[in-house]
Amino acid sequence: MTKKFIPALLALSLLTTSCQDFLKESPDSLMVEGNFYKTEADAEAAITAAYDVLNNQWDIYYRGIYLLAELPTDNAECGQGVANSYIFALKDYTTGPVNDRIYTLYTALYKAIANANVALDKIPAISFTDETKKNRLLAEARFIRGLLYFNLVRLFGDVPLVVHQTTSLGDVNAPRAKAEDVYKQIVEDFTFGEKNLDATATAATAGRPTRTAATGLLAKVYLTLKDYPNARDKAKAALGDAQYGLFASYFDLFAPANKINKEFIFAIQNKGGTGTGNGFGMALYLPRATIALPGGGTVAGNSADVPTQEFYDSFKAGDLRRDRTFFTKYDAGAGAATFRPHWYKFFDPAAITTLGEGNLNYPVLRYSDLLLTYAEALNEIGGPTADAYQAINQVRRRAYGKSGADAAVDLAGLSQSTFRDAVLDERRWEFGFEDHRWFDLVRTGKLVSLLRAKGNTRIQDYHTLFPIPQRERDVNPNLTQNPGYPN
Amino acid sequence: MHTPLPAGRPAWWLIALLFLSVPGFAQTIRGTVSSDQHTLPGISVRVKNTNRGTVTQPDGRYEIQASSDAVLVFSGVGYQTQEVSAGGRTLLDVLLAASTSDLNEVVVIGYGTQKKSDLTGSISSISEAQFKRVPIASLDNGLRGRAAGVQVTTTSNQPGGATSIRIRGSNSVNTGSEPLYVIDGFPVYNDNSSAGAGATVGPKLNALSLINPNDIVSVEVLKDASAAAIYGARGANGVVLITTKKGKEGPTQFDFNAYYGVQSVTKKLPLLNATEFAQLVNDANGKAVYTPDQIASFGKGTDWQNLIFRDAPVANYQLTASGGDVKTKYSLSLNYFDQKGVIINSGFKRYSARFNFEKKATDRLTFGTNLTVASTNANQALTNTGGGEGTQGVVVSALDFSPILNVRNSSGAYTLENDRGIPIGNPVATALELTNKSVSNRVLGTLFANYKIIDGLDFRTSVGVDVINTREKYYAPRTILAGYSLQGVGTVSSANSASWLNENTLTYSKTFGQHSLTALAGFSAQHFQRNLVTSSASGFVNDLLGADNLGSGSIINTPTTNTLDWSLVSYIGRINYSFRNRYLVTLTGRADGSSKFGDNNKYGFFPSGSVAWKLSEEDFIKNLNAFDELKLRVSYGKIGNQEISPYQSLAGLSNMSYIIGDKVYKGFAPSNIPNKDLKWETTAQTDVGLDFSLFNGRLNGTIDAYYKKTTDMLLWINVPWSTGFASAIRNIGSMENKGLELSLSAPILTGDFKWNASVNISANRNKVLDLGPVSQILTGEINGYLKISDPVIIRPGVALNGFYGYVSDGIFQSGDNIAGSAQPTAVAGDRRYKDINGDGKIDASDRKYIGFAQPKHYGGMTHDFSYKGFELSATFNWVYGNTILNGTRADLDLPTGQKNSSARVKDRWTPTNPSNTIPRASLNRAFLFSDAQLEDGSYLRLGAATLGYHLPTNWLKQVGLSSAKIYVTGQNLWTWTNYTGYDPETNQSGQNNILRGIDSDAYPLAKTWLAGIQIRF
Repeated sequence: MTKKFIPALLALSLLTTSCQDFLKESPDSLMVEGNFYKTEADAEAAITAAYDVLNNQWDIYYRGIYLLAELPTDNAECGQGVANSYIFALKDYTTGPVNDRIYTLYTALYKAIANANVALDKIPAISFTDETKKNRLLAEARFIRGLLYFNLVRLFGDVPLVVHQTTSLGDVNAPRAKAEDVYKQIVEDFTFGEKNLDATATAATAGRPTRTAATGLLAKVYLTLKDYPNARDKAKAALGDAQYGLFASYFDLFAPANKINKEFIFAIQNKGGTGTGNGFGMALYLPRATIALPGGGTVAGNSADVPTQEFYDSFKAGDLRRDRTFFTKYDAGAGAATFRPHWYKFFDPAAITTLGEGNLNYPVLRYSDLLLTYAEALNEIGGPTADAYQAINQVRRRAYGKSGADAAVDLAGLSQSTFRDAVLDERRWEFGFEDHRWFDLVRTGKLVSLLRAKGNTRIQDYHTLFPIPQRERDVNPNLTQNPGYPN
Repeated sequence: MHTPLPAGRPAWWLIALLFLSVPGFAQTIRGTVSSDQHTLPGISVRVKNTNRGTVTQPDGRYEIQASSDAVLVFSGVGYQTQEVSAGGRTLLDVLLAASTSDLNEVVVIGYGTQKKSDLTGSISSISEAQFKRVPIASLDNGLRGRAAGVQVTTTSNQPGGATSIRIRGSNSVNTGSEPLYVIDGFPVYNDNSSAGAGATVGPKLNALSLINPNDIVSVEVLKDASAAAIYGARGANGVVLITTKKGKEGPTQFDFNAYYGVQSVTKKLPLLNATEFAQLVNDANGKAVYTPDQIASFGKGTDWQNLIFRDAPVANYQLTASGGDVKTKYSLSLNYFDQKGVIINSGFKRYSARFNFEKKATDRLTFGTNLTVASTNANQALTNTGGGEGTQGVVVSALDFSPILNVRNSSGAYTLENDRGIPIGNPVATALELTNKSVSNRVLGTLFANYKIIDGLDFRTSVGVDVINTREKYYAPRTILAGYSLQGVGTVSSANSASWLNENTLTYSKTFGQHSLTALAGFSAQHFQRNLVTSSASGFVNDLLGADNLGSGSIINTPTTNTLDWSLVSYIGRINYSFRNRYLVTLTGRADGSSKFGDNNKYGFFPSGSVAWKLSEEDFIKNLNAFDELKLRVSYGKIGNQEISPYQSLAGLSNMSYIIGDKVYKGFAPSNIPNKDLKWETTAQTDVGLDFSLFNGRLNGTIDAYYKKTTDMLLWINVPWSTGFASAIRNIGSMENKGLELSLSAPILTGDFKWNASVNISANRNKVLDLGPVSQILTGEINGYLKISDPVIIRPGVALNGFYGYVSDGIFQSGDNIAGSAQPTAVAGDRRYKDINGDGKIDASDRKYIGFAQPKHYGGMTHDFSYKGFELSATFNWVYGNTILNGTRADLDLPTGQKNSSARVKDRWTPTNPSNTIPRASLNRAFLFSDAQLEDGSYLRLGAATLGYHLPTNWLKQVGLSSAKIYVTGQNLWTWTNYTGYDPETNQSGQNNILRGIDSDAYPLAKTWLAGIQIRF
C-alpha cells in the first residue's frame, strides 16, 4: 500500500516525473503467468487444473456425457423435472446444431484439453530433481487429453486437433482434423502413458491414472477402431495387472465406503462437504418430493434424468445389478416411499439432504469393462472362444451372485452373431447409468436399427454423430458440419 | 472612478482616499428588492468595483454602506442583473426582471466555469429548478427527459434501483458506455455491476443512490468532444458534472423540505384464474388431470400478484442551513429518505449529510471542503429468473405459480412449490422469507485550496477521497424452495473500495484589448482499489442464525477474496480565446496514462478543438432586430474510453481444484488469452451546433448535429472453443453514432398568468462498421429456462441492438396442407413461420433482423404555469420507435399448463377455436424466437405533475418564515403505450450495451401521489 501512496506525494509536489511504476499492474489476488510455472509444485498445480474440469458434473462426467450417451438411447428418458427443450430434442433426435447441452459438453471437453495442453507446454521448462516425476506429470496430462479426444472423436467425428496452448490471437481457427489423425494422437498419448504413468495405484494417488489405465483405454480405442487384435492384446495386458480385479459384490462396488476399489481402474474423483464444489451431485436423478425426511420435508430430487421402464424390465430374474442400478422405493428414516424406477447406482445416503455433496467416484474404466472388451475383441476375431466365454461369464457370475461356474448363468454355445448381441446386452446391464450405451450402440452399428425397432420414428442414419455446435461454426469459418444436419 | 493607489505610502494613500471620496460621502443605503410578484430574498447586492456586498433579507430588504455616488449591482439566479446608480439616494427600491434568456448564466465546464454565451462545445445545463421538478431517489433519475441527447433507462424499478444512461448512443460493444460523473470535481464511473459486493441476488442497486440528489444545484452534461476531452480517456461516453449547494453571503438561511407519498403499481398483468388454468392443464396433458368437479370448485383461485404487491409509502426529509459572509460560506444539509417498495418486504433507506465550506483566508488564499457522508440500507427484491430453478424471483413466481394453490397448505406451512412440472418457489414465501439485504456507507470528500499568484493567475490544488463500504447478506431458509434442498443457504459479502484523487491546476485569465484568454494547465493522479470478501455456507440445523453465523452451517464453501486496483495519471491543458467577443476558440488536450492497458500502450493523448462565432454580435444580424443571441459552434476531437476491468492485458490464471487420494488439491490454469497491446478505445466526434435566442428571449433554443466514430474498440472477439476460451479481448473494429438534437424553450405567457414551455428531442442512429476478423458476434442465451439463444446478433452494417429471429406467420389450421409446408412435422395449432430464404424448410437461415432496441427518437417536454402564488407543472418524456423483447410475454403466452399463463392463452388454438395468435396447448416448452415475442416499446409518459402554492409572505412573517410552499405531485400518472408488460422503459440487462430493450419479469413501475412542503426561515 505504501508504495502506492508515493506517487500521490509526488503528484502533490507537482513533480511530473516518471509514473511508470504507478501505472504498472501488479495484481495482489490474481496469479499471472510470469510468476507461475517455475517449481515442481507449480507443475503439479497445472496438472490439477487439467483434472478439474473432468468432475464438473454438469459439463462432462457424468451429466454432460449422460445427456448425449444415456438419454438418447433406450436406457433413459426425460423425467418430469426436465425443463430445457434442448434436452427433449436430444431424446427425440430432433436436435439441430443449436443445442446448449451439446455445446456445453463440447466446450468443456476443449477447456479441459486446453488446460492439459498448457501443462504439456510449460512443464518441460521446469527443472525437476526427479525426471521420472516430470514424465509422470506429462503422462497424466497426455492421458487426460487422450481420454477427452476419445470422447470428442466418438461424438463428433472429425474435430479440431489442438495440442498446444493458445497464446496469441493469430491463428485460432483450427479446422477439423480427420478422425484417423485424432485417433493417432489419442494412441500416441495413451502409449506415452503406458510407459510413464505410475505403475501402481496407492491410496494417496487414487484418481491418478496408472499405466494399466492407459493400456485399458488403448484397448477400448482399438475396439472402436475395429482393430481387434490390438484391442485383444491391450485388454489382455491390462487384465493381467494383478492390482485390479472384479469387486466381489456389484451392489457394494458403488457404496460410498468403497469409492476407491480394485475394480475402478480409472474413475472421476468426487468428495462431498469440502466446500470446493467437488461433491457428487444427485439432485437431478433422485425422486422429487416423494421420500420423506426425518427432519421434515422430502428429498429434493428433480426426477429429470430417469431410466426407461423398458430398461428396468429388461433385467433377467436374479440379476442383482437391477436393484443397484435403480430403486423404486426408499426409506430415509421417516417412512418408506415408492416411485417409478429412478437411478440408484450413484447414491450417497449421507448426502440425502445436501444432494450436491455426494461422496462417490464415477468410473470411466472398470475391470468388467475390460473383460467385456476382451470378449468382444476375441469374438470379432474368431467367434466366441473359450477365453471370450470365460471373460463374459466372469461378469455374469458376479452379477447373479455366483462365486463359480453356474450353468444357469453362464453363456455357452453361441454363434459369433448371438455372442455379439449377448455382449451388447451384458454391457447394457453392467454399465447402466455409466454413460456407455450410445457409444456401444454406435460402435456395434446398432443405434439406428435398435431405436427404430423400439419405436423411435425420427432417428436417421446420420445420427451416429452429433452436430458441431452452430456457435463454433459461426466463429470459425473453417469448420464444416456433419452430414444430415442443417448446414 | 478609482485611481490605483501607490503602495507603501500610507499617508498619501489616506489623503488621496479622502480627497477622492469628497464628492460621495459614505452613507447607508436601504431598500427592498422585488420582482413583479414578490419581494426577493437572497439577492446579492454589491457596490460596484469594491468587495463590499450583502444579500437581501427574507423580506427582500437590504442595507449597505456605500458612497452617495456608488453604483449598486443587484444579481440573483433567475433574474437579470441590474446596476443602479445611488445618485445620492438613501432609499433604493429595485425591481428585478426575471431573466428571459439563460445565455448569461455561468456554467461549470470541468476544471473551471464559463459564461454560457461563451461556450464553444455542446453542453446541456439542467438547473436546480428543472432537476428537482420530480422527487427522485437518485440523481441520474433527474436527467430523464431533461436534456437533448441524454437517454435514461431504468434497469429496475425497485427502490434504490439502477439506471443506464446513454449520451448520444452507445459507443462500444463491450466497454462500459455509461457517462463519467464528476461530483464537485471528483470523477466517478457509475459501474453498478461492481458497486455491489455480490452476495445479494436480483437487479443491481444504484451506486449513485448514495449521493443525495436534494443537495444538487446544477447539472451540466458535456456531450461533444470539445467539452468532454478535458476528461480524456474517460470522456468518450459524455460527462455529467454535478455541483452541490454552496453557501452564499448573508445570514443563515434554513430550508426544510419534506414530502410523503404513497406508491402503487401502475398495472397488473392479466392471467388465467384457477378454473381457466385447470382447463389449460387438461388441454396440455391431453387428459383430465383435473376432473370437471374439481374444476368447478376452483373458482378464481389465488391472485398471486395481489399478494405480492402493496401500496407503499415514500418519505423524504431534508434540512439545509446555509449562509456566510464576505470571507466564509457554508452549506450544511441532512437528509433522510425512506422508500418502501410496492413488492412486499422490499425497500430502500438513505441517511446522508453534506458539508460544503469555503474560507477566504487572505486576499490570495481560499480553501475549503466539499464533504458528504451517506448510508443506505436496501431490502432488495429478486424479481426475475435469477440463478436457476428454485431461485426464481418474486415477480416471475407470482406470474407463473399455479392459481389453484394457496399460500399455505392445509397444515399451515408454506406451499413449497408449483405442482405442475416446472419447479417454482412460492412467491409470497420468497418475498417474505428470503434475506437479501445490502448496506452501504460512502464518504466522498474533497479538500481544496486556491491561491491567486498574481492577478489573473490562480493555482488550485485538491485532494479527494471516495470510500464505499458495502456489506451484503443473503439467506434462503429451508421454508422456501431456494433453500429447501440445501437446508438453508447463506452468503455474506463485503466490498470496500477506496479511490483517492489529487488534482493541481494553474489557470490564467487575461483580457487585453479585444482579446480575451483563459488558459489552464494541470496534472492529476487517481488511484482506485477494491477489496472483496465473500463467504457462504449451507446445511444449517435450523434457520434461526442464517447468514449472520455462517460457521453454523455444515458445509462451508471456499471463501473468495479478491482485490483489484487501477491508477490513472493525467496532464491537462485548455485554452479559451475570444476576439471581439465574437470569435471564440477552445483547444483542449488531455494525456492519460492508465494502468489498465498493456505495457506497450500505457499513455494516450486526447485532443479537441472548437470554434464558435457569435453572429448576433455582427451588424448584419443586429440589423435584423430578431436575435438576442445567435451563435454557431463547430467542434472536433478524439476522446477515449477505458472502462474495462483491470488486468485484462495480463496472462492471468484462475484457481481450480480436484480430488486426488480423497484429498482436495488446488491448481491453476490460464483464464484468458493475454494481450500486451491492449489500449483504450477512441471516439472521434464532430459536432455542429447553433444556439439562438429570438424576439427578446421569447424563443430560446439549441440545435446540434453530430457524428461519432469509435475505433480500436475493446472488443471481446469470439474465438473457437478449441483454444480453450470463448473469447479474447482486442482493440479492433469500429462503430458510428450520428444524430440530431433540438431543444427549445419559450415563455409563452408572461403576464400575471405565466406559461413556460420547453421541449427537447433527440434522434441517434447507431451502426456497427467493422468487427475485425469475425463476421458477427453472438450474444448467447438469455432468459433461463426459456432458452432463447442469441436473440441479438451483432453484424457490421447493422445497428448494435438488433433482435435476430424468425418471422411468425400465424398458426397452422386444421385444413392446411402441413405436409407440403416448410414445417412438415408440425400439427394443426402449431405456430407457422415464414420461409425467408424460400428453400422449403424452416431452419436457422430463415432468421433475420426483426426489431431494434434503439429508438427512432426520444425526448422530454415541460410545461410550467403560474398565477399569483399558484404553480402547476407537468413533465412528459417519450421514446418512439424501439422494439422490446418481452420475455415475460414469451413465458406467459406458452400454453404448457406447467405454470400459469396470460389471459391471452384463453384464446389458444383448439379445433373449435381456430386462433391465429396463440398456439395449441402442449407440454412442449420449445419455441423459436420470433417477432411473436417482440413488441413496440414506444411510449409517452406523464412523468410528473405538480400543483404548488406559495403561501403569502405577509402571513409567513407573522410566524417567522420567509417563504413556504406546499405542493402535491403525482408521478408516473399516465403512460400512453401499446406495450403489454409492466413498464416499457425497463431494461433487465442493466448497463450492458448489447442486450438492451429486454424485459423479463421486472420490478413493476409505481405510480406515486405525494404531498410536500418547502419552508425557508
